[in-house]
Amino acid sequence: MKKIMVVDDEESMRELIRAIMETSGYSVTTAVDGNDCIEKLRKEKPDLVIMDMMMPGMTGKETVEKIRSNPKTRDIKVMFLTVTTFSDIRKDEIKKLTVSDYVLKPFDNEDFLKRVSKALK
Amino acid sequence: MTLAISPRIASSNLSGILSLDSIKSADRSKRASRFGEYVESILDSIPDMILVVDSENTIIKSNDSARKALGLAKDDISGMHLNAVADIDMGKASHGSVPGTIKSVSGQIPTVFWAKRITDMQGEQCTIIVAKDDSGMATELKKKIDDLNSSYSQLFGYKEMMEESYEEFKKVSKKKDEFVSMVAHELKTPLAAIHGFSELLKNEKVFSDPKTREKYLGITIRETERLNRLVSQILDLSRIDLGTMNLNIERIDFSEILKIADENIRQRAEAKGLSLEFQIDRSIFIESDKERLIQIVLNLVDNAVKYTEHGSILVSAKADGTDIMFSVSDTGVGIPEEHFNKIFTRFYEVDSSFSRKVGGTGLGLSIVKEIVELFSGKIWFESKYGKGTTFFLRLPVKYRRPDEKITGN
Repeated sequence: MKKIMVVDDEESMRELIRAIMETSGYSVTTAVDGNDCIEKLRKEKPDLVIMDMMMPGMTGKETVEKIRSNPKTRDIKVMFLTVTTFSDIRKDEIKKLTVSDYVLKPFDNEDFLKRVSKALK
Repeated sequence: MTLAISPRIASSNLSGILSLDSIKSADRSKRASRFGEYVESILDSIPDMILVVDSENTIIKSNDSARKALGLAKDDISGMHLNAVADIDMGKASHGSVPGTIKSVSGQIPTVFWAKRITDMQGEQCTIIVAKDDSGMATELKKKIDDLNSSYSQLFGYKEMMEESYEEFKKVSKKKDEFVSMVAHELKTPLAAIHGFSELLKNEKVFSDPKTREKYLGITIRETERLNRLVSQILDLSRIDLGTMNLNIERIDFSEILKIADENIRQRAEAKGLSLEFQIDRSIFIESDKERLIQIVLNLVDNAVKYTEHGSILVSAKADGTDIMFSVSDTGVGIPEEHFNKIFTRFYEVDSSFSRKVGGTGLGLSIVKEIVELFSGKIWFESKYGKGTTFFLRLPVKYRRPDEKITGN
């Protein structure tokens, strides 16, 4: 069973992704923000981290930078979640952070699952 | 040798015929001296200063204008060295016009010199210097330069003003962009939840399980309410920003407002096991907008209930001179000191994961503050992290617009 960690400050988003993923046979853990994520990654090793970009405290980008700078967590796959339709998704930056994909909210549940399984390959 | 005598002189002077040579020389010297006088009076009639210097630059001739300007008599000036009366580079002056100064009685006069080197009848080299007072031109030029300078500094002032306005505009524009991006984020999050859970509920298996269905429908409804609240608040902020918030000012009994707040919130407070107490000594009347006043009071009391897990909430109102002092005290989580100056900022939340759980949008307090200011009131708070918070509100009972001056009565 593939393990997914959802990092979002929105409870409803965490609940939604948990519901979608669990009905499709994934095991899901959650973190409420960047710090919580970094803290939990000390003990857990998920196959994919799905992370909101816009969070209070550490942003999604900053959190990924931290994940990448630690040799123990460097290779964990990350997928961004964002509502942004503006140009602050800089593809070059995302490439630098070696993020597998980014999904815009709101999303289609089926499409979301497809992207997750693609990211896990 | 030919004689050049006019017929008139020849005929009127018989001796000339008799002694042609003597007549000739006498006449010539007489005419020469008369010619000299002519020349002198011509020179004196010229308004420009004229000096003639020899090869050593010693003055040998001058005109009235020059002597007047220099304050020297004819006898004094002759024999003086040019350097004593003028500052001019003769090397350059011999080639045309050159600027310099004349040491006149009234000080140094800026002067344009024009010099012509000639050889006189005796074969001596001398230079005729014509000096033109340039002070008038200089004054005019100076005035023009001053005008230009002042126009320039004015322009420079405008430029600075424009730059300042532009910087201000950029700041405001950046803030607006940030706000729009925050709004988009805040609106899309409940939308994403509503969309996602609705899709999940389309699944027969999910829908047929009452517990799951209940849960997902509950989240959908909660998120719809949040979306609705957000849209209203964003509209409020937009009205405040545009200055188009309509206020219906009327005379209101403040105790009535507290009653409405009590009816709205008591159930929620008691469900959490909190005691909720309202204190008002008597009826206090205030000129205000009823809906907005309810909004302010509800927001503050509602926040107190949300952020308090144990203990009590005390709401109090009393008259204080021409103001109403209103306060909401709780024994809740309190505000950490590092967040004190940001608490009224739009979309700012001390702990967003917690405040989201309790339905916060991060806009409530910023709106409250702006409405309070529309009523020329003041809002502030005291808080101890972990102990509780008190919000204070001071509102003038007589309504006045924020830009109105306080009158004596």
